[in-house]
Amino acid sequence: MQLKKIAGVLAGMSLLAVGASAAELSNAQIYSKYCKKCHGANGEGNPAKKGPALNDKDINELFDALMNLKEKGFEASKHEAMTHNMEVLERKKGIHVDPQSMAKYLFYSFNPEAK
Amino acid sequence: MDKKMMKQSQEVIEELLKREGMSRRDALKLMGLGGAATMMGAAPSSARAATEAMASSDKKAKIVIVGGGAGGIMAAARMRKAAPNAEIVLIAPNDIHLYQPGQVFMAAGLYTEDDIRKPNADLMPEGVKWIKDEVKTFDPDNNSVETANNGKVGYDFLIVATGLQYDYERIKGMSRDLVGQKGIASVYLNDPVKGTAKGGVATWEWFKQIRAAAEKRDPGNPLQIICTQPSTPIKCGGAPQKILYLCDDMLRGNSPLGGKDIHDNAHLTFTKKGKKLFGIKSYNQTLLKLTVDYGNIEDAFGYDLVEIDPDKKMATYDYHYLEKGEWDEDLEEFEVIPMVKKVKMKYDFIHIVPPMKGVDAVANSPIGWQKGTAKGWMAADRYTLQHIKYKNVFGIGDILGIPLGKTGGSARHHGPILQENLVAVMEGKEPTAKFDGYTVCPLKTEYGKIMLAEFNYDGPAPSFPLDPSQPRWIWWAFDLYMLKPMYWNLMMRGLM
Ligand SMILES: Cc1cc2nc3c(=O)[nH]c(=O)nc-3n(C[C@H](O)[C@H](O)[C@H](O)COP(=O)(O)OP(=O)(O)OC[C@H]3O[C@@H](n4cnc5c(N)ncnc54)[C@H](O)[C@@H]3O)c2cc1C
Ligand code: HEC
Repeated sequence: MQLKKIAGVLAGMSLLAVGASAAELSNAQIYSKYCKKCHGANGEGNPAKKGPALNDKDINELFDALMNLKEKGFEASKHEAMTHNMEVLERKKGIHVDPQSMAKYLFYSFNPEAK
Repeated sequence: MDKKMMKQSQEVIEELLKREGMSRRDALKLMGLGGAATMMGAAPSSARAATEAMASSDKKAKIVIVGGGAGGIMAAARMRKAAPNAEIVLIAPNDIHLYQPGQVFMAAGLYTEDDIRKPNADLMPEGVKWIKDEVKTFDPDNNSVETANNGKVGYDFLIVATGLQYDYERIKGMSRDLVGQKGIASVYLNDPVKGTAKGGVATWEWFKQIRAAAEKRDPGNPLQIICTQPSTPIKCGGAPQKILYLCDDMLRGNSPLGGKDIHDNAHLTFTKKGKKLFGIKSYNQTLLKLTVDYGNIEDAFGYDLVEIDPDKKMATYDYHYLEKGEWDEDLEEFEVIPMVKKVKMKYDFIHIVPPMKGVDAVANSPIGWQKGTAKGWMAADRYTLQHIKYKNVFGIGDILGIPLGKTGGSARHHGPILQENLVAVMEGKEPTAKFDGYTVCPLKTEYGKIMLAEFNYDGPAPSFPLDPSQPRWIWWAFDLYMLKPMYWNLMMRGLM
């Protein structure tokens, strides 16, 4: 009985821990853990995974693309594969990508034209 | 404001108090009007003070505004006050100004075409020079625009307010002439230059024809009605669904046509390429539940209308779906391969929302995005509304190539941002005011009810302390009776 209870508490704690760490991941952490393999260490793209380059896009374009692939407005996603990837990341890993801050991170980290 | 309007507004307030159990003061506050003075078409005193306190510049400069719709007129009114020493020129071809949101109430049989028309001359602020012409090309490298009949017009500062254009022709077999014929309607259709709103007229006729046809059917052999939404960005993203729900409610006997509830004699299909009715979860859930409650509406997701045969009454779709690919170790799931196949659907009546795009003059010039998801729309910064390359160029309204915000309500929020930032640039400073993506969609869920869906880049953004995902009668009353006079008297004068 006692053991069962402790196990329950432990399970609860680990659940909490997963939730908390997912919520606290910075965009840099999200990128290197969940985006890099398909989009390249410097956003240069990865043909092997069909991931397009992100480092040649203006911050406004990145924001528009991220909003579009999450179908935040009324128009359909133009990136159906990526929309699916994002859903999987949300569902399985508890990752929530914020289009505004992620666009900023991608642009200032990778685009050579960023000041 | 005429007597009829006054009376209607008063009724709205009274009913509001009764239904929502509020004090009169709260009710007025709720509507953001601040007092009975507003009912007379004057600005609430607080709003007026705020406008006066707003940024201004006494610099001498030439400001050219292209477009004379909601955004262009608001920009002209605001800049006329904010830049008293500037020469302001507005280039637009249209004699008539259309209150476009009213086209949906035309379709519902509640407004006439005359209700939504006003001469543009009445709205043009004093001291603004109006060139009745169209811009053919933008030449931002030389600070000038080329007009159809008045040659080149130079500027120091440019405001792009051209709105968007419909692309009916992208659907094979479709043209705007078919609207109003062979069971085809399209509430959007209008001609800003001629000042006509054929879409509103034709859709109300379509409602009547549908009712007559449904009376001869039965639930075993229902009338097939399709309402479409294109895959492109569209203005007022909720309008395709407004027609869907209003049409069904009309069949339940709740329109001005009255009659018995015969909605089971019809089957309605809502087709769109996207996978959601609304991009925001709480609003999406309300709508999904609504379609279930209607009982005869089917949502067909993944369907993008590409061809129509008006004589055979056959619609052809690109149906987009995902096929399972290889196992992806990183995602711990199978990768997906986007697939498309053609699917045909037979209909008796169809409401077509055209694909939309930036106007040619913008799309074919350096003013437009040359690549990316927003290609062809104005290349503007999502916050400052300034052109990403040409710092003396700003945009307002539907033409902006930014996510969200293609509504009149958004243009109203662009107004003060544009004013502040353009003044800053005139004064040699950096623009710092930020547009937050505000978009408002008064989604008509039935005759007499609206879900007032307000949202911005961050998510839901309700202006009122009421659950925004709940359809309410007060928003319907507000929209039907009060928004139009507010549009003409406050928004178009830059007071709101
Ligand atoms: C059916 C329908 C329902 C709607 N419902 C709502 C609603 O409920 N709530 C809401 O907030 N909004 C609604 N809207 C959207 C709203 O009407 C628009 O968002 C708003 O009018 C945008 O203003 P704008 O100035 O960008 O474009 P417009 O008002 O369309 O004006 C553009 C102007 O530019 C001119 N122009 C175009 N090209 C050129 C050129 N090359 N040179 C010179 N002039 C040019 C045109 O003649 C026109 O006058 C609705 C629209 C429709 C059609
Ligand atoms: C499994 C591989 C994969 C992963 C993981 C992945 N992507 Fe993608 N991404 C793609 C592919 C493939 C496309 C292009 C296909 C499409 O349009 O759907 C794409 C497209 C995009 C685009 C649109 C680019 C454009 O052309 O406008 C953006 C932005 C993007 N991804 C961001 C991200 C971010 C941020 C992450 C991490 C949270 C991520 N991606 C993780 C494969 C991946």
